[in-house]
Amino acid sequence: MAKKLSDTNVQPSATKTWDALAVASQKGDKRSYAQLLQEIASYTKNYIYRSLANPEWVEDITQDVLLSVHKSLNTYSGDRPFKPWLCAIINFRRTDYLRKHYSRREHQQVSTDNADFLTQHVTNPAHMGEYKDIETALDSLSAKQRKVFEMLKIQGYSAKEVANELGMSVSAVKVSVHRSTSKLKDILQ
Amino acid sequence: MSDKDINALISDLTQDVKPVKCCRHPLLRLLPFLFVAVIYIGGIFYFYGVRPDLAAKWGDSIFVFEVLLMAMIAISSALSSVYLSLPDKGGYGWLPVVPFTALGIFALWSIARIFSNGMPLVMPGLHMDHCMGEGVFMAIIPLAMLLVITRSGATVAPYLSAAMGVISAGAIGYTGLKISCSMDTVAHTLVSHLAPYLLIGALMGIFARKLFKW
Repeated sequence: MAKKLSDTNVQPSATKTWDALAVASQKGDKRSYAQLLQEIASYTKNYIYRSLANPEWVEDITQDVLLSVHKSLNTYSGDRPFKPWLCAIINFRRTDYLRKHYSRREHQQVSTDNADFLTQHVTNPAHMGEYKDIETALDSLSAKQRKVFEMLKIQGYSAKEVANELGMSVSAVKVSVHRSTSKLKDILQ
Repeated sequence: MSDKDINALISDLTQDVKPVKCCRHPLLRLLPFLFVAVIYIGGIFYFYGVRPDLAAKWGDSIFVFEVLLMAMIAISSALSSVYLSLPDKGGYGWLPVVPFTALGIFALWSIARIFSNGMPLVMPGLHMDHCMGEGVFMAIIPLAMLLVITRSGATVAPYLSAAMGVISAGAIGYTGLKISCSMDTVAHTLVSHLAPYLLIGALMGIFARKLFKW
């Protein structure tokens, strides 16, 4: 861990340490929070870049880390250093992402010897076309995720309106939409 | 996904930020659990009764050793579980070693008892009817409470958290059964007093990621 930390180029801002920024963010200071998230994003990218087989995953994992930091900000205590707290989240999110990625890929492996599958899913014209693909991808979301996604991204409601309608917090709505978008992107790619 | 998306996300999250109530110190978070567990088990003893030879058993060093070992496992694993609910484990990432070591001592102790007392292949008089049910009953509320406390944090070790929860609840249930059931044979203890917790542990392992989802 110590070696990895020293390997990264991004260091906490000279004016305020991350510990101080995190404590200020916990009090609702938006400027400190924005600065903290910007620095965390850069740090995370550098931290995970060399450990991933595909550089395209860096952005996705960084987003997951930012959302996780946002959701678990209450678990940071100002009397402890911030970096171990952050690195634990980064490592967890990276492992989680890779585990999902590889399990999905394994799940999607289909033998070309399986004639029944090819007939049903590959050569069936009803399963072709962009609209059908999107519908199928949307079906993979849970009922609640789909409702949130459709209201926000298709019907054009604001995050606040969706949150009020479904009895969720605004941040929960945004997290849900982010996760749905990532999932749909993976399926449709 | 690009820097633009990340900047947009940061902007969204920044707009959302509100003052948050920080998690209390793990020891303080554990106090309600200990309080409820003691009251709850006390209530169970009140309604179900304790073993008739309990007063004499407190003079039995083997009995006292087992009860104290289990109490230590219950408390240390509950404490580990609460610390594990913090991403950085509050700087006490080594804490699960304590209950695991104590559990190892208990396993060796049980093996030694099997060798000294013998464990028949056919185990007569297990009277699983009440012990299994009572054991689960004794453990279920402490386990549920520990889960609620752990879920209020954000663990990066879901499987270890689940294991600590089950070990703690199992140790509480085992101690409870030790005080309420007068059958001390190795076979009965291992099958009727411990097996239900192994089953609960297996189930918790399967659902750990869902239980401790962020």
